[in-house]
Amino acid sequence: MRIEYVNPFVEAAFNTIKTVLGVDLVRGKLYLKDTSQPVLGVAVLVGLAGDVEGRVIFDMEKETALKIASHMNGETLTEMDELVKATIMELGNMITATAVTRLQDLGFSFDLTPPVLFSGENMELANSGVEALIVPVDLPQGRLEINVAIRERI
Amino acid sequence: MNENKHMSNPSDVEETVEVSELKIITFTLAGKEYGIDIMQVKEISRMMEFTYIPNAPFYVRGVYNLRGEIISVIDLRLLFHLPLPEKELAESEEDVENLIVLQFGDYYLGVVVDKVDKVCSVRYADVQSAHPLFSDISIKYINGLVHHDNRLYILLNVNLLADGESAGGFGSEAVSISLEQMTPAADKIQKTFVKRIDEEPPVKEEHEGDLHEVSPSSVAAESAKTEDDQALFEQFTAGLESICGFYVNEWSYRAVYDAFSDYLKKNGSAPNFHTLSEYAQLLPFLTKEEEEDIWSNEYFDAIKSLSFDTSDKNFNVWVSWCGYGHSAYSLAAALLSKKSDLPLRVWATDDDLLKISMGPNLMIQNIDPSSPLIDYAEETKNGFKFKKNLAEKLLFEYHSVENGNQFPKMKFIVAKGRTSYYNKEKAGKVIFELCSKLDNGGYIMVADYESLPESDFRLIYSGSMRIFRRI
Repeated sequence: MRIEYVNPFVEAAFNTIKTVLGVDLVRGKLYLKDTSQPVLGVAVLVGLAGDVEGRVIFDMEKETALKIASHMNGETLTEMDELVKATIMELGNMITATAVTRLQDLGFSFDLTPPVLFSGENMELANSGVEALIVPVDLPQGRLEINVAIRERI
Repeated sequence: MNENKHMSNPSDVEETVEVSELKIITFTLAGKEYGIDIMQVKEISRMMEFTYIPNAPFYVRGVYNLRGEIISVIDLRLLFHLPLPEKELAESEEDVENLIVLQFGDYYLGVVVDKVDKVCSVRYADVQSAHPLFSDISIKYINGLVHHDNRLYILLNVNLLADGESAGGFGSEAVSISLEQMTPAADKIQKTFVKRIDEEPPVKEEHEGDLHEVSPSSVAAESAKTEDDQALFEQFTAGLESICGFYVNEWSYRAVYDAFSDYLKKNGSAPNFHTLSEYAQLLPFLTKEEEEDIWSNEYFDAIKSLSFDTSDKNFNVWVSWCGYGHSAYSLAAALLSKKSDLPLRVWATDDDLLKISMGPNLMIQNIDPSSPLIDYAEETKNGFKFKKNLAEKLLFEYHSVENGNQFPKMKFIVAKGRTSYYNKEKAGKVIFELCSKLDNGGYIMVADYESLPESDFRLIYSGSMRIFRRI
């Protein structure tokens, strides 16, 4: 992945989460991955198009999703209902949009697709042939993994 | 597809989250067992009467009408120069053949094999990279080896068949095969690991005394000894791995083996080393500092002497493990000073995020006035900065070579001295990635101890680094 894309995503994730949730975060070590990997339980996917093609996946456990949604809505939510899903998708959308805005300031043109949420047990993400940047974020609510794969259109 | 697999095999459900399974179809070619990833197989069938195509390469059997779809059919035994079964030699045109139909996107390719065996499940983790000397077929067609049910299967990289056909890659294969034909194919199968090594034609080295030629007669005389020597050599490489983190692979094999046998000849006993510095005395490249600097003029002169095909729309080059990017800027300047309007694009990649992040804004403290880079740099109060006309050609990517990439074919690749620091499993993948991205007639720059297989590459330059050209 182009080095210019890495920071906007990392910064966007941290600033957005900090602002929205008002919590302190610990950034894990960034790394690259290509093999298929388990999905923790809830995954939000936002597609990218334009000068590049790619996608961003926000992956977390169901518990984490519920806690984040509870925090953002100011109430205790215990079921994966519409409100929780909409909240988590919105979070994914906000982070990606912030990153894309930053990238546009740098002269790259990106478009977003509407976020899609997947949830279920024992899911696996087949990622073969696509190298992804993994940005692990440790929240008080649990771990959120941001999985960014972008490639240049040639 | 994945889901079905899980259900059919309930005992594996817990494991599959962590361990990805690979299903392969196995088949035989000249008595050896091979496998192909089932996801690339459309169907298996028995067919006859392929329509012959005049002037096709020798391994193309013809085309076949598969329910209205015209597919081309190649014979793997011909492609790999393996002997055909007896009966088919007599009436190969008429005989019913075992055919595996492979699918690449919406394009099909039929491959003829001796016998299709079965489908078996293996784990990705169990796939090992192939030793370059292990097989009778060119290493570039091999993805790895896998052990299943007491049998060893060679996993074929069938994507290369599709690539080769569309990109004309088989042309180069024909060259290497004609060299191989000098030894009878059936005889080759019997050759042992050790013999294969000694019978390879010696590398022509003018400048380095430590690489010597092994004449066939001396091999015969010493053949009794080589069995023991081989065991000693394996001990030696095991030490290299555990002490130095250096894994001998197809590129570094020759340098290490030659240094080892020289030592053996001089001292009469195998080296018994326990520290990195002991190993480094025999193999100086182990402790050679990785260069994080712009190229010396030797490199620029070497590039200057090469001839490039610049007729394509784009001229893509790849600097793998570029670190901070010094070598990427150097290569770009070297190429642009040959031809200033070259449609150059440099992919500079590294898996060290801290280093590669510096790439786009790299500053250099000092540039020799005689270096071609001086024309592409401007002095600022903090040092030299590269001009936009050079910097805009470069694309810095955070990328691990072993993960694969979508890069286009490259005219020049810099891959110096890193492959041997990947363990055996990864090295095969890394070398494959590098070789598969190199265009025919493209150049690859490697470290001074690395040798690329002579079947596919020709040594063009040898000095403080080496440049090979793909043939």
